[in-house]
Amino acid sequence: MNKRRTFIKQSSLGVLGISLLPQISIGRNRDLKITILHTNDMHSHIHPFTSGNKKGLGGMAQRAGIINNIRKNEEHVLLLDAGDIFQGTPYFNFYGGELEFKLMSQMRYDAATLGNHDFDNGLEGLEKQLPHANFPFLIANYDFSDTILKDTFQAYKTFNKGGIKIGVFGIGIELKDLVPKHLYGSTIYKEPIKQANHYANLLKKKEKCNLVICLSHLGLKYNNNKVSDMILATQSHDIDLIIGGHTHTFMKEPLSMLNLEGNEVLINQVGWGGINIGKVDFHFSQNGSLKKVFGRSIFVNNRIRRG
Amino acid sequence: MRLRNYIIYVAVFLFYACSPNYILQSSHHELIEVKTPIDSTILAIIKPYQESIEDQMNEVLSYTKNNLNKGKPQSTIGNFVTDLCLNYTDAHLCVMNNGGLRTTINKGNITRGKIYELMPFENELVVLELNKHDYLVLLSYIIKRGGEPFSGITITMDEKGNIINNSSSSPVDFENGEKIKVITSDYLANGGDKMSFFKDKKQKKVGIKLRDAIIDYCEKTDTIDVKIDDRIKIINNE
Repeated sequence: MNKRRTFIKQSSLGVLGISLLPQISIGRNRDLKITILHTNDMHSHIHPFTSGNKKGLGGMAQRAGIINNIRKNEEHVLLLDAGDIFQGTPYFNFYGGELEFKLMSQMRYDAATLGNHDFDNGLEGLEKQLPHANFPFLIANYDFSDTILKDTFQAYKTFNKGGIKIGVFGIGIELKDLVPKHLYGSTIYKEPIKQANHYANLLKKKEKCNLVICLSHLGLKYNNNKVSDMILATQSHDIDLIIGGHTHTFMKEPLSMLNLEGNEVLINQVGWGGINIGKVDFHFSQNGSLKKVFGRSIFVNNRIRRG
Repeated sequence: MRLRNYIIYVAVFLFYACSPNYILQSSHHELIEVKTPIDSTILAIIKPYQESIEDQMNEVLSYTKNNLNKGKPQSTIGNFVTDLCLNYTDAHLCVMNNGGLRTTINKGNITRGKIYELMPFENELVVLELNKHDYLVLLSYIIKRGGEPFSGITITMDEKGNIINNSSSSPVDFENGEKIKVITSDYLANGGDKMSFFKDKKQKKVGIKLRDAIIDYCEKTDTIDVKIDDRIKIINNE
């Protein structure tokens, strides 16, 4: 027991020793920080929850307030969503997603991907609301060629933040048996891992992105071999961060996994209903190489504190 | 000693939490205000949308004497929905799924908004017919799932999940080719929630959405009194 403790102590001291070195040689103030803010599965929750154990949590105006504050302090912010914007409150039943898109546009979302519930009013219902969104929907593994949404969506988009190039692409879940056929029509689902690797490679190598982000609605993990973010992470290359959704998983901090090449991939997902905002900061050195990452979840909390 | 333990735990955590590719340089602290700053522009955009549905959503439609909760093998919320749907047609049986009932309803007033929460989807009621084989597959599905909402039949089973007896309140003569009429949502009728026994059956539309059927029933019913009954019985055969 004592021997083991000594070993751990020495090992960790070793790590601490090494970690001090770059700070001395490079210096912190030259770092460029990219702040990724993200949501998923907001499910038309415009207002904070009014009952149950989530009472007082969430709310679009509250979320916007927090985002405004972050924008005041951070120069390079990217705001992203991983799908299932639609369905869950009467706002969707009455207005079909119009308000959700308008509010996200006002908050200056940079991009989103499509979740299965975004098909709940059919392809026509989605098409009808798109003019209310001033941000693109990115989806790399749905083929809309034979539908009314032909040429409507891009697979990816690149962003330039202070000289750092960021590539973002979207991956959707298999619609068969999840969404009624008449709602998604002739939309073709393509195998997600192959598509993800294709676009990640294109973004990293051809577009020369410093950072590649996958917006995924696959779900974090399943008890069977159904494709998930965790499976995607291990079988991928060139992806730095997977922003997930669908399984409504509340993660306090990103999960770190290794890809096919042994490089780190982070996965983060922040529950549902707009209760949390994910925040992942990427620090780059002046030559554009990634140095460190810090991620956490921000509670959108409007609860009245008692006592 | 306690401090030493603490240091070791932190050290172990750092050791495992640090990735091999990114070298930790500094920690990061942030003070988040307790009071959330609300964006007034967002509130202003919401306002007209909110006002035009608020009155409708707050309208009280009925009153329930009991909490309508979720549960297995049967639940008050499941019995509430399937009992009222069964009365829409001459079907023998109504089947829904626990996953499709999206909220519970507390004892007291029921508002229109609460029914939208319970049934946000635009699912329609349909009737289809099952032969004896498919009907038995349906029964074993319900048993296997530990109970799904149903109305119109009673099931008696033993503790191991073997069906001892089942009976419909209006008998079906399977032996002479009669089929059992089942009312359900079009989502389930198309095989949703793995209800494959419904797939490829001819569906007859009732002509009403499930949500509207629930609203309609609430509007017509002053006091709702749903209880757990003996539609599903588990007997102990020693």
